[in-house]
Amino acid sequence: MTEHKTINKDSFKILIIIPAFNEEKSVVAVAKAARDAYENVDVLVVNDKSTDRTERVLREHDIDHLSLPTNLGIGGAVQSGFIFAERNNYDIAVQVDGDGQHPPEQIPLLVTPILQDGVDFVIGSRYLQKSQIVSSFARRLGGGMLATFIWMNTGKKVTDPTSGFRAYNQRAIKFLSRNYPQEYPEPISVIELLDCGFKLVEIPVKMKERQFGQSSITGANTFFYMLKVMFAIIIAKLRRGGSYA
Amino acid sequence: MPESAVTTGYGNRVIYFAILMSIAFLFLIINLVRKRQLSERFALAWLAIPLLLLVFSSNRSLLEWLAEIVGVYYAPAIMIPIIFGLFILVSLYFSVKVSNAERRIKDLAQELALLRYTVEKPEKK
Repeated sequence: MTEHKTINKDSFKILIIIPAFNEEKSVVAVAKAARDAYENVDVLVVNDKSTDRTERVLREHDIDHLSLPTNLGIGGAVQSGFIFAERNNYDIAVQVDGDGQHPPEQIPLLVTPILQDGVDFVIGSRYLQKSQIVSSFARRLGGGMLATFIWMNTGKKVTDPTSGFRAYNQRAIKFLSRNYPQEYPEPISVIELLDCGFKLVEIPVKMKERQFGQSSITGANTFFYMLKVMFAIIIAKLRRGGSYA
Repeated sequence: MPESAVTTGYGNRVIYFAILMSIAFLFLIINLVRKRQLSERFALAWLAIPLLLLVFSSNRSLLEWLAEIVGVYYAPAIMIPIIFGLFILVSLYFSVKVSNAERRIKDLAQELALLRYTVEKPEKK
């Protein structure tokens, strides 16, 4: 871990974006852990108009945050972070969920491929290593369908397209601050970035079971989620002038 | 009873009813705009419905001509697909408007959050 810290040293500005909707129990711990993950990183929580005490705990602990005046959903919240990163000239933006399922100590692993190998964005994948988390059957089936679909469309194998644990370089930040999908942002943004020639690397990460809150994708909804995502992907393709058949 | 009622098999009542409904609808919309509960821009989309209905229901030969083209024997029945089509178009138009408004609200909300950050930041440090 220490070797990563030396790469950074003043030369790169890194922003860690933590979208949070009703994460009063976990957001402070995540933000603090993220701050310690690297030297010289800035942490920005985006409070997506939480209805619990998220805003208050952020203020009490003096954690930098944006307070959205209305609930935009994960897409709009994360995009606010990208706009912030672009306007303040950050070199790298890392997205970490506010619920504590993404281990902040693994942030350096996400950042390294951008710094060393010149890739544009990095996804932390749950499925690259033989899994520690036992996902439900529906979830794995849906994930498999989605991965296959993305592979058919982009020729790229993405094992965990719904992972929200990611890092982006400046070029990707600029792109995303202008057009970040508002619905199903994780898989759709992967497709759009790949379509536009951004280079992706996935790295294995260990995720924790979420401690609080609930996944937005559960049980029987998984199948419909996948259908909707595929529809959205097809539309995204058509919009781009149908470069792929 | 006029001759056409005999030949085509329907009376004027259904036509009068359609005209009456169209006029009532027209008044409802105009009144909503007058009370500023509906903006002029949207009102135009809604006005299209009673106006077109008026044209079709008051002009029997137009209605019969159209019915013949489409192959409908009972001419007033052609009003049903017309109304249906108009409603679909109007709701589609509003879906477009809502999507647009959604995007603008998102842009404004983000800008507001970013502005608020820059305003509050100096006093924090």
